[in-house]
Amino acid sequence: MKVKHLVALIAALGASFILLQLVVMPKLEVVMAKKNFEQGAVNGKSDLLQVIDNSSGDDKWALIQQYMIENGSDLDTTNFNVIVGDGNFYTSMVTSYPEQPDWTRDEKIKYLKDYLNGAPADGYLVRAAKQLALVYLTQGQTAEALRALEQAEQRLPRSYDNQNKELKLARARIYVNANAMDAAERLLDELSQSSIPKASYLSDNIAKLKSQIVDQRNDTASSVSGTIRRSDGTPMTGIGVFLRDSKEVYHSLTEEEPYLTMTDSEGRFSFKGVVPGSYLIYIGMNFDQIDGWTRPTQSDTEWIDLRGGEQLTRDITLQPLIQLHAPVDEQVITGKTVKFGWDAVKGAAYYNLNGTLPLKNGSVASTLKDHIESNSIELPLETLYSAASGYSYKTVGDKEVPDPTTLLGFANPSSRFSWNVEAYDANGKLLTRSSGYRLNEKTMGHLPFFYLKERTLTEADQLLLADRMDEALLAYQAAYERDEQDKHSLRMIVKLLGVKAAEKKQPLGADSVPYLEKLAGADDSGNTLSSLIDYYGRIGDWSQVDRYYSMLNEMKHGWVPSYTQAQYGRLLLKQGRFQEGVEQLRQAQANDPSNRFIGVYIASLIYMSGTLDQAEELAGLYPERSYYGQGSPDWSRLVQGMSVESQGPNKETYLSELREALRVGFSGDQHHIDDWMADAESPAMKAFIRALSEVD
Amino acid sequence: MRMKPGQEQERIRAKLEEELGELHFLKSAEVVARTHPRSLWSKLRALWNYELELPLIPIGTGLVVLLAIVLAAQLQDTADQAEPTSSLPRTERQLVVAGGNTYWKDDYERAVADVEIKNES
Repeated sequence: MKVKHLVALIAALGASFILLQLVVMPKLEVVMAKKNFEQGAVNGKSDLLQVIDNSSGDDKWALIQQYMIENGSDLDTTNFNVIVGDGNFYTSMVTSYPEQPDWTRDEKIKYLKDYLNGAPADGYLVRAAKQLALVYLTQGQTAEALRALEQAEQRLPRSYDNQNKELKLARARIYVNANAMDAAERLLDELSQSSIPKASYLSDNIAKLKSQIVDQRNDTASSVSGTIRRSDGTPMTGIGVFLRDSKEVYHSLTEEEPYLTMTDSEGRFSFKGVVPGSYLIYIGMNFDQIDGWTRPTQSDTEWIDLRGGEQLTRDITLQPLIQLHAPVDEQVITGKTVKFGWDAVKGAAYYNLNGTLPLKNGSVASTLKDHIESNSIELPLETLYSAASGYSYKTVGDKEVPDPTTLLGFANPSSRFSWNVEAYDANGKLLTRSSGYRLNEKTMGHLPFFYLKERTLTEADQLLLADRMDEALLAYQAAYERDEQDKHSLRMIVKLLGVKAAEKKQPLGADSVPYLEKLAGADDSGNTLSSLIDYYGRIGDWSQVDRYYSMLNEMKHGWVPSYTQAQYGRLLLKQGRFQEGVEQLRQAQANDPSNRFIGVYIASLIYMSGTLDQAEELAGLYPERSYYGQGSPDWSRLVQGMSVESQGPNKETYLSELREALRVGFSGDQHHIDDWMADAESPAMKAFIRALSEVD
Repeated sequence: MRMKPGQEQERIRAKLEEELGELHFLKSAEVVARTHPRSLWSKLRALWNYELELPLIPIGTGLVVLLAIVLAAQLQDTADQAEPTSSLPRTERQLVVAGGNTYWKDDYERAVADVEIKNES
C-alpha cells in the first residue's frame, strides 16, 4: 500500500464518520430517546423533546403524533386527574395510558401549534386541533381555542368532510358554553344545511346543542353559576365543572351528560337553561390544582333543587388541608393517654377527630371524638379502645371470617393506626379537613400514623388473632367473670356477640343485654346506648328506651346522631306519643341533609294536623336523597296524589281514614299493614302507606 | 583483419548508434527526477508514492474502538445535557392512599422509610 492509498482510506473513514454524525446519529438518538422515554428513564421526556426539536418534516410530525396526539384527549371535558363530588372524590385517568407523557400546557401548545401549522392535513391534524383547543380552554382562552379549530377546518381537504363538520360542531359547542349564542347558531345552521346522515353522531349532537340554545335563551329557565377560588382568593382556571342530575351521580362522569363546562380565566362558570331537578356540582381538577387543597363538601349537603326560574349562585372555595402535629410519623404511645394536636383553622367552632384502622386494601374509620372546641385534645386510651368501628371479612381457606385485627380495633398493639380531623363552623358546615391529596414535599407534611403499645395481648386476644373466634369469646367471658373491671373483655364480648348475631342476620339478642348494660355507663361513644335503645324498642320496653335515650342525650350534650334520634321519634309514634315523636323527628330532620326520614316526619305532621298542606310543602323542600336514581320515594308526588284523591264532598272522611291508616303505618307491624292494604281502596293513600312502611 | 581496440570500440558504438538511432527515451528526465529527486514537488511525489507495509488488523481494530468511544461519548452527552429531574417522570408513578391521604407511592415509601430510621435511632 502506498501513502496515497492510506490517505484515501482516511478520507473515506472521515467521510463516513461525518455521514454517521449527520444521518445515523440523529436516528440513533431518536431511537435512544424513545427507548429511554418508554422505559421511564429520568431524562426520558427532555430527551424526547430535544429529539423532536432537532428533527423536521415528516420525522417531526411522526414523533408528535406518536407521543403527544395519540394519547392526548380530544376536547373531552371530563378528563381530569381528580373528580370531586359531594364528600366523595375519586381519581380518574391516572394510569389509563402508562406511557402517556406528562406534557405541560406550554409544551402542548408549542408542539401542537407547530403541528397544526405544518403537518399534513389528515385525521391527526383534526385531533391536534381539538387537543390544542382543549389546552386553551383549560386556560380560559376561548378565542384561541376557536382559532385552532378553525385553522384545522381551513386546512382540511374536501375528502375530510365529516371531520370538518365535527370541528364545526366543536366550535359551536364552545360558543354555547361561552354564551355566544348567535355565533353558535350560525355554525349549527351552516351544518344543518349541509348533508348530514340522520340518526348519526353529528345529527344527534346538532339537535342537542340547538335545544340547549333554546333552553339557555329561555329567561324563565333556571341557571346555576359561580366562581371557583382558593381560600387565598386565587381564581381557579380550567377547572371542569359538572352539574349532575341525581339520576346520574351514582355512576362515573360521562361526556353524554348535558351540563359540562370549564371555569374561565377568572374562575367563573355558568349553566343556563337547566331543566328542573336535583343536582350536585362535581368539579374536575389536575393534580397540581388539588395538591394540598380540599373542596370541603360532605355527603348530601350540596344538593341544588331547581324547580324552574331560579338564578342560583354557588361559589366554591378550595381550602388548604389541615396540618397535623401529633401523634405523627409512627409515634409509639405507651402511656394511658394520647394527646392529639393540629393547626387551628380560622373560623372553626369545633373539630371532629377520626381514627382509622388499617386493612389489607383500605381502612376502617371511626369517630374518636366529636365537637372538640380547641385544636388539641388529650384522650384516654380507653376512649380509643371503645371507639365503634366496622369490621371486615377475610378469607381463610375457603371461608370468609371476620378479620380479627379489625375486631380488636385500637386495642391491637401491633396495628399501625392513622387519624384525621375535620373543622366545622358554628352552623355545622365543614370548613376543611386534614385528609386529601399530598403530592409534594411541601404538602406531604407529617405522616398521620401512630402505634398504641400501652397494653399487651391477652390470651383471649391471641385466640382471636389465631381466627379461633368461639374459643376467644369463651376466654373473654371467663376473664370478665374473674374481673368485672376488665373493660376490654367486656367490649370484646359485646363485639363478638354482635358478629355472631350479624352472621345469623339477626339483631343483637337478649344474651348481649347484660353485657351491654354493664358497658353502657363506661362507653362514651354512645354506641352501646344506641344498641340498647334498639333492643328495647324491638321488644317494646318503652321505659328502658326512654331511660337509655336520655342517657345518650346527656352523654352527647344534645348532639345525638340524627339516625338514632329519628329512630327514637319513630318509637314514640309507635307508642302513640305523637307530640313528642313529631318533635324528635323535626330535630332529626334538621340535622340530616339526606332527608332520610322526611317521609316519617311528614306522616306524623299529617296525623297531628289532619291536613295535607304543610306536608306537601315540606316534601317539596326536603326531597329524600338517593344515589341510585329511583331508589327513594318521591314524597312530594305521593302527598300530591293524596291531595288530589281527597278532593270532593268526602274530604273529611278521607282524612280520618288516612289518620287511621297512618297509625297502622307507625306501628311497623307488617301483618297489620298487610291486612290494611288488602282492604284499602284509595290507591294514592295505599301508595303513601306502603312507602311509609318501607322507610328504614 | 585485426583491428586495434580503439577502432573496435568505435565500430561497436557506430553500429549501436546506427541500430538504436530510431529509439528515444522520452521520460529520461522524469526517471532521473524520480530516482534522484531534486525539487520539492518531486520530493512530495516520492512521498506520495512511498510504499508502506501496514499491519491491517491492529490498525483496523484501533479505529473501530476509537469510533465506538467517540459515538458512545456523544450519546452520553445528549443524556447529560437534559436537566436533571429530582423525581421519576410522572408516567411511572403510582398513587397510594394511606392514612386517609393520597400520596405518590415512591414519595410515601421514602417518607415511611425515613421515619422508621429516625424512630429506631
